[in-house]
Amino acid sequence: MKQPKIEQTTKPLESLEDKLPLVLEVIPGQASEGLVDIYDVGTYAGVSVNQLVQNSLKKDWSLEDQQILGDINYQLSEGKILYKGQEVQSNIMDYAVKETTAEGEDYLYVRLKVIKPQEGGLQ
Amino acid sequence: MKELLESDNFYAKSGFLYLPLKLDSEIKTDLEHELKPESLIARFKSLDFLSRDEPETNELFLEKNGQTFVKGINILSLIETYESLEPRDYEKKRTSLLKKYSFNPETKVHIDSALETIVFEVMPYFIKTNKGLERKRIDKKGIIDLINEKEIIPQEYFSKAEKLYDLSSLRNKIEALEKDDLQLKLPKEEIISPNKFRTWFDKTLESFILSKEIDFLKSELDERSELAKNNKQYLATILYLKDKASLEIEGFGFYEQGDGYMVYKHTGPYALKDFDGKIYRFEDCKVGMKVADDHIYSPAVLNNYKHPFLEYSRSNQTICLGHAKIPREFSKKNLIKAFEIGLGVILQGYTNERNFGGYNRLDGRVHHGDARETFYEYKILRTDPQIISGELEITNDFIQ
Repeated sequence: MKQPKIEQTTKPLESLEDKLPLVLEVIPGQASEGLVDIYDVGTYAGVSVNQLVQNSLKKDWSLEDQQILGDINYQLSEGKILYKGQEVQSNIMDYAVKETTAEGEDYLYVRLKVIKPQEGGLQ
Repeated sequence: MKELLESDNFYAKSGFLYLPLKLDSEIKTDLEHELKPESLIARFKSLDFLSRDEPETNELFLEKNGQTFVKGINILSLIETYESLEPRDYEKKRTSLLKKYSFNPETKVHIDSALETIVFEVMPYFIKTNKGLERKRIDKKGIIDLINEKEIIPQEYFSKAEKLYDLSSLRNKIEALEKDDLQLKLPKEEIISPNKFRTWFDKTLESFILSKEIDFLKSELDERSELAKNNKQYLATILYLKDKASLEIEGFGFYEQGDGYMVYKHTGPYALKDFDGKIYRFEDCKVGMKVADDHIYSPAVLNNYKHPFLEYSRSNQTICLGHAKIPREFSKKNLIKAFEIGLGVILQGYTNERNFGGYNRLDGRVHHGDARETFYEYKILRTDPQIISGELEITNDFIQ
């Protein structure tokens, strides 16, 4: 599949939440790929990021995805949900970018990391 | 064991060797009645050496040709435990048998399981290849495709793979061996001389060793049949990787080091925030750990590097992990966990202002040990174009 186009837009994305589906990816720790969940238009507007993540984790995932789900739950215990190193706040649209599939379909994409901070130091 | 086999006559019955009850002839005459099996059983019962419910026909003792025999050794256990009892003799016999039946030591497909775990199980966790809506961890086939895109695998590895796929020679070998009667037969019930027993023992041990070799060949056949389910490209690729002993894809890689592998992951450039909000830009580093003899060693930064959790500015420094415990036994799960800890400390571990336990604080206010590294030259502004564009992530931006 071709790399999706990422639109650099100054248009507020909030205006798109009633028009585009949302793809939420939750990545455990230092992994490169996470659990990908798709929210249809009208199912994510007004829902907090934390709630959206929790909703995604509760879904019935395939055996393969359950492995990733296990990694996420491990990180989430005493962990934080981060977007670019910052703990996420309430509005999902603050983290969304517009992407387009190879077939030309637009969607909003949010990539979050779940990290159990590993404090370094001398023992 | 040898002494046993070279001693007196035995009596063989129902899978047991009965040993002669040896007594001085005078005592024997005096105790003739006492040594009758039924008397011995009664005596043993009175001494509570035997349960009182034990039947009188108990075969603990037998009388044959005027001699009393005591139930001694399970005959098959002698065969089954011979490898542990007489390891040198067992190995000598085994080697000579393998030679006799022309077993090729190359029969075994030596696929390095640690290498397979690193490449096909751990690597997919760390590399990102899927784009668009399809964001799933890459599978074995995907890894093979990636390696084949990156490396030109010489034809000889495909020829080797072809040979290993040829299961017929292995099947023929098993069939030929199975034609021999390898059933372990017990000696018939009789008094048996040491020589006769030795002959029986050697032949039975030979059958036992061959049966074990057949089991090995069968498991080898199963393994190869399993490999044959994958395509030849898969087999050629892993044979190639084993010889090449190094690979790097998407920032994750390994190379052979001594008796094991050094497995590493690049962090890529990143930034850290100090407790006063100032930002420091760090170049890419290679966080790696050695895996050898099923053991995972402590994570280190392999390249010349300085960081709050490294003591000096140099290469191959073990990361200061705080209280985190690295799981030491090598497995996919443990190696990923060890990477999570090592990478996590480098990228997100700078969090504790009050009890900073690293070697060098970014602002230079605290040093531990002999460390005196500073990071002034790494300072950048939060408005740095790389930060603004998202190209550079402040990986611990969550600290207050």
